[in-house]
Amino acid sequence: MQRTHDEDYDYLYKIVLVGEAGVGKTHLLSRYIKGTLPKNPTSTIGVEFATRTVPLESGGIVKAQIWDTAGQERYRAITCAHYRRAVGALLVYDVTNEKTFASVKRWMEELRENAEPDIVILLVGNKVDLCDRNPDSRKITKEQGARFAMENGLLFEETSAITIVRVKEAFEGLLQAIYNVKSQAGNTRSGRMSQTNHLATQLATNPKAQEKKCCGN
Amino acid sequence: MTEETKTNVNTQHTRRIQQIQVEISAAECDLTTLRSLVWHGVDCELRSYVWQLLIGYLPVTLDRRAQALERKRNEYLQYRAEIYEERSQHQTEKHLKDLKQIEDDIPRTQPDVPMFRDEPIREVLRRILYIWSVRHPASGYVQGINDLCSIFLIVFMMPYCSFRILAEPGSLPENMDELEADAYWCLNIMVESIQDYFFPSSPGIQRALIKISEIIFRVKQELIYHFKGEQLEMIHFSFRWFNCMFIREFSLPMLFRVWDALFTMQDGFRILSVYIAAAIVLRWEKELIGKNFSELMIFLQNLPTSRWTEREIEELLSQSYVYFTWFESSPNHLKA
Repeated sequence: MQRTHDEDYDYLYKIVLVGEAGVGKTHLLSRYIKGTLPKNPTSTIGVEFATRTVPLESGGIVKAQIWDTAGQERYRAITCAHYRRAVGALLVYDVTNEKTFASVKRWMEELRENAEPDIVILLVGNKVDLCDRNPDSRKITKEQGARFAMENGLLFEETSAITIVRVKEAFEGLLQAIYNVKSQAGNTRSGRMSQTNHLATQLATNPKAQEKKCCGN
Repeated sequence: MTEETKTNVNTQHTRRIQQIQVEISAAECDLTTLRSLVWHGVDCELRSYVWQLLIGYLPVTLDRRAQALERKRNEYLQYRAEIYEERSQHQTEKHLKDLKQIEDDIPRTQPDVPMFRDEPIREVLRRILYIWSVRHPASGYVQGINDLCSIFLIVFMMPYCSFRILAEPGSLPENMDELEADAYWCLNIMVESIQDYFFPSSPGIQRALIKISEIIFRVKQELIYHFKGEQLEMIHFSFRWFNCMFIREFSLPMLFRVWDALFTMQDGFRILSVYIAAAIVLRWEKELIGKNFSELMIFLQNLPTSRWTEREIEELLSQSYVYFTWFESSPNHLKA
């Protein structure tokens, strides 16, 4: 379906924000989208949705559809249903809380099972502002995070939504990485195009997007 | 509105409140009459008493109420001593996990109601939620139940601190232990009526989502086709409506009116809520039909209800009732 009333963009990427409850997913999203923290923070129930259109460093303009999910384990079955067609994920843990890091592996596996097979995952250690204030509060070192990411083929960032550390870089680094993966995959993706895939259809019907894809090849 | 019609509305309102007062102080409260009166709303001072009658916490027989209350309140105080105060003696892994989640959610409960920033009220919330989760092992604590609990607390405190609770932090009413017990039991009865909303995979909510889709389809097929075309599913936007019973969708005074209506119907939180959800979507059908996926999501997750007054709520509830009478009594009407 041709969209005439949308703003101009070359690609539409669906990104999910996942991780244990209370690690700061909604804060990160609010900081990135609105530039501020949520005025009256409440727990996320179901899914919350936001979009932002971003010019990539190389590759064109991306519209990111970001799905912020509920973290409580009880909601896993529901949350998984939202992973469908996601091409990227921010998997967030809290650097001051070991439990939130211990469960990162399970989140990763669930993402790989339920989202697009070539999903790009960015592991995010959030709340580094707490360690700046009190170094003893850090429970997961930067090396631990980076090592896990490397061993499992994830990207890695440490962030703070409160003191604004690498929030924009995290989101936009992920978008760029998705673009790079997609453009390398090139024509081999034609199989997926033939499905009634919302995002793929979007790419296929956007002549500008087609052109970019060829250039990226 | 002319001065004359305003006066009329006011007289009607006063008369209705008087009738409610008569009904709740009758030797034998007639619930059918009370329900039809409360459908149009009730004042803050009476709301807590009325809700407790309608939900079945207070007996309909006037003479039995004091005794029933005393028994329930004592029972709760016992839970408080055994389950909460002495929790370290019999705490399981699951209890600890629930308590951790409750701790995380307490500062995120009613963050714009100043009173909820005070530790005493947070401790009340902590106790109720913990005791509830220990006594309901099939679901345990589920995010969103904190929201539901907060509404009972606010409404039950209102006759004692009036609007202070919404406006500024302050000390708790003297009879707070009693109010806490009442809030626990009413939360208990209310959540029991929608238990399966909080079981793993939320089967109750899944069924509600199918039903809302069917109702909308019967009223406005194009809208469902449009949603399908945009790959928008009910779960994307209305899961929260059911999980938190519209708490996140309306300002508190308007939300109270929605709950007044839910209390007036047998099993209202399960049945009427679906029709309210359908009426919400259908109210904006013209706007929605022109929107793409992203626009639909953003609109439906941020309903433009912040300036709503009684008038809009009344309209929404009347429309919900219309759909209810069309479809609920004749399920074939829905399936056809």
